Amino acid sequence: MEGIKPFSWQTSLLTSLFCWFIYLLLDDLDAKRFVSVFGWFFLIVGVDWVLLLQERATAKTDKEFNIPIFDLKFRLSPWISGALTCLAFYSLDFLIYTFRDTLVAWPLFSAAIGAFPKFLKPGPTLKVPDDVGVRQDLVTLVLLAILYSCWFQFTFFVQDLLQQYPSLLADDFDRSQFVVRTNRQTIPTTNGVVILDNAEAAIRSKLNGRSWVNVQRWLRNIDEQVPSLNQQIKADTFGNPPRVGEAGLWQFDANYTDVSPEDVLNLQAIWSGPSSKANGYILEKTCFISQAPVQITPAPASSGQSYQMTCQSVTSISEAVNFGRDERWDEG
Amino acid sequence: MSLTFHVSTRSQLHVSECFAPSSDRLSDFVFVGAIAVEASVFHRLLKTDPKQSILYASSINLFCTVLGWIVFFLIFNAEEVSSGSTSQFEIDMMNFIFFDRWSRQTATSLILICFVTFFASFGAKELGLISLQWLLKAGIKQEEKKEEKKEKKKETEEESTEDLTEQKPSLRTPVIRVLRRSSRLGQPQVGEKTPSQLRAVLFANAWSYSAILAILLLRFAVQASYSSIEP
Repeated sequence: MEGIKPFSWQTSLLTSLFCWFIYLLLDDLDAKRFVSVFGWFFLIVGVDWVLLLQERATAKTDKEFNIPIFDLKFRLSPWISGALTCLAFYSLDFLIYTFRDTLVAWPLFSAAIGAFPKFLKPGPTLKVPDDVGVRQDLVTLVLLAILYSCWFQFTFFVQDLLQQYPSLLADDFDRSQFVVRTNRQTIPTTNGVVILDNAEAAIRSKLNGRSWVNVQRWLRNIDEQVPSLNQQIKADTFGNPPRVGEAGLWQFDANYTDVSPEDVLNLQAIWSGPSSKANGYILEKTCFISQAPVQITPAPASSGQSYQMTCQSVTSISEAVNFGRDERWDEG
Repeated sequence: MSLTFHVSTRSQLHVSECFAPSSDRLSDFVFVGAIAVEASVFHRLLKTDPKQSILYASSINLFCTVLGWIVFFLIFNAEEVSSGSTSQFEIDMMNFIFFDRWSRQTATSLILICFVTFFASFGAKELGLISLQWLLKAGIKQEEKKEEKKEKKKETEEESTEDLTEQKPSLRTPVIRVLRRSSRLGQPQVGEKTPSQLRAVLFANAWSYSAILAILLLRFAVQASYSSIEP
């Protein structure tokens, strides 16, 4: 504590610490905010100062890392100070309001902080650097920062897309030039499986309580039922109005063939959205329906049903999609 | 960029995110290739020294890339706002981003887009080069003027020796004069014709597009041979 000079990074950091201490003592939100502005400011100045000194100390000994092509020296300190500045703005709710904006703004702030010393002049005035090389570096620096920012933006853009179209996650990204799959172990299943499960449940609930003749009549006319079933199943799966954009890309279809003793009901979930195979893919679930063993009294709705329905597991036309062959989709 | 973001989606499935943006190998390669090609064109046509040519080429290519990204985001945002449901354009775009796949119609529009992009990027690059040179030179006027006077003297001396058809000072823009001077200072070749900057940018763009096209065709060929080998 003795050797601290009044104008040094230690002072700055200590002032910051002092501000945060005050911050803890205060109750009023506005006052807290006011104090935290100073807290952040001195923290950023202090950290930048330390890093600058560090950089100067190592610059002579260490080999510098140059960004190839652009012939630009890579410096770590602006990135750290920039990150701190972004966090400060974020926590103060000033200009930056979301975590996403924080990341997007990070390279821009870092570039500004990295470029700032070039504009300094002895005294309180600023100047435009008059060395052509320095100017070229500045131009490159700013452009690179915007490019990084765009990359972050693109990451979030892809995340947004995947949130709107979660079934894409079940597909095969191997050919993509833009994204790489990092969860090879836990690839999620496509929503088509949920659609087929919901379809089975919906059809069961429609058939419940009908006599066997009625059941057969309903199934023979299933083509007429498909549009309303389609709506109902989508509402079950995606909510109404749908929570995700992919709801419009799914289509439900059903086919019924009358082959005694076991009639075949074919349920299809058709995906017409983006996929690794041309024209999307189709998931299928085959159900066998037969008359229930004859009971002595005609079965009331509550106890047994007049039919037996057994469904096989889902199959897919496209092998690339994960439709949960060996998985726990029982809980639905 | 080996960043991984873990975000749970809002869907029923509660899946955690499972992708990382790859550093986009192909476009990096194309980017570096374009810079190399354009730098060599600048070096030849503008008579800039090698380092300067690379810096020029990299700056204007960066500028172009950034503009391209911004346009991409703008288009997608506009598309999303205008149509509530998923448009064919969005599906095509996702097919391209996630699965590197395009249909016949998409390929047609892709070629059209490339065609438009060629001229757009030519404009952007010319603009970028002019503004870059302005940024590099603006404000350094005091020394400049003295130099210019000297230069003018030199030029007039040279002009008297050179043929008259080439030298029309009224037509020449200051930018060209700057380039001209630097070329003179760099390698004093009397009598050599300095082509206009516009032409250099056009040539550079054309060459880099040809190079990119060649790379893409090669890639298609390799992919086609792979897929034919696979059962």
